[in-house]
Amino acid sequence: MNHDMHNQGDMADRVDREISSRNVSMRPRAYFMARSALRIAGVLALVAGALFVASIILFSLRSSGADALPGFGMRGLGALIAVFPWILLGAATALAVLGALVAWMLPSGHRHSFAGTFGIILGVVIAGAIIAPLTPFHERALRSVREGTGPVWGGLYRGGMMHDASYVYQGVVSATTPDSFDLAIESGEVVHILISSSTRARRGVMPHVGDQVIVGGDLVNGVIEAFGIRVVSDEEDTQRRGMGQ
Amino acid sequence: MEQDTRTDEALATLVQAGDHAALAVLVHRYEAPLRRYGRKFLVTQNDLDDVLQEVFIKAYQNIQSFDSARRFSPWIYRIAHNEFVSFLRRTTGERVGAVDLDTIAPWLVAREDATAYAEGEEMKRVLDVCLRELAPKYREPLVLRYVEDLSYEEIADVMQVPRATVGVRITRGKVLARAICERLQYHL
Repeated sequence: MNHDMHNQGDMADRVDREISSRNVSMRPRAYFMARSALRIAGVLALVAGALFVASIILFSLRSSGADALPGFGMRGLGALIAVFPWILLGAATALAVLGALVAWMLPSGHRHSFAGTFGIILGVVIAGAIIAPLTPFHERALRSVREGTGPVWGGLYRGGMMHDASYVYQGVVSATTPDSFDLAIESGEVVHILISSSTRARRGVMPHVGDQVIVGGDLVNGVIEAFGIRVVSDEEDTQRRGMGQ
Repeated sequence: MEQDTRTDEALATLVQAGDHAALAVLVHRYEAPLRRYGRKFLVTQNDLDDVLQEVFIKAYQNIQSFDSARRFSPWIYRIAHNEFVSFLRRTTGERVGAVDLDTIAPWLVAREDATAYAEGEEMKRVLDVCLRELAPKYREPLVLRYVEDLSYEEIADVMQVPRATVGVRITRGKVLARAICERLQYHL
């Protein structure tokens, strides 16, 4: 107790002496404001980055036709797993986790659990990623990447797009037979599609000449044994074209 | 010495304007509570003066970040918390991490009702006897709640953890403290 009382008298003098001898000065208010602004900007940049990468994933899945693969049964799901841009998904997740961490370290951020903060950011990223491909942003960016005038992050599109990937092809039907058809794909090449009893077709609709079609299958020597085909409706075609096709 | 009736927040505003005398009043006012908090949390007398001195110097350095519309005590307790935690890490290697499962997803850790155990005076007696045996992450919120009378929200601000985490740690801390007391055969 005596120790406490003794020190209590001394402490103010001690602090005053230390402040003078060590030349301790108050940090200006602007310092704290700049620090907060920087942290908030960091959170926004990381969330925007995560949203951007996530929207490229959805955009690329849709514009390559890979989003049709789950409708082709187990083989379609397997193909989707094979062509999915996992690296981009990892990058988007890492950015979202980092964004949540920085947000959590904001002065009032700790009041929520980390899982809650991450959940909110994940919700924003997913909602934004769904909305972003509906705008012409990705279409324009992809066009400029293809023209070689793309931005520095154009590589993300190359990483995300699966046009060159096997298992999923899109094109226009140029000829049909009862169990096959020819498909003019985006590269200009015409491939022969074989339909068997195991080929899945949405609502059993078979393609006609001029139809836009998504085909799931492996391309070998110009021939695809299709495990799934999907005729794209005019309305959906317009939507997909609006997304870069 | 005449009692200074100005509020902590008014004094802090004066310090912000460069009034060193106001700083001295705040140091006088908070030295005893922070010393008590430090002694209970750190369970040591050694170097406590030096740690407290650093707390007040840090408070002075960062006083412009204090928002006078809010209460001063959680703000200075938070500075003290940071200093005590780094002191513990330096001297004993004990880590009182803010990143723990109970801060990431508190609801996964415990669902007990925080009011279901001993309260108030009884817990103060428990803490006097069994505190030394408790891990720092449980020790600190119990001290802030039952010795320093801070609310859960204020403790969350001091420790920089979610409010739910404070609830979890206090609840668990009480259970652990009671178990320790029983082990030590101390009767409440």
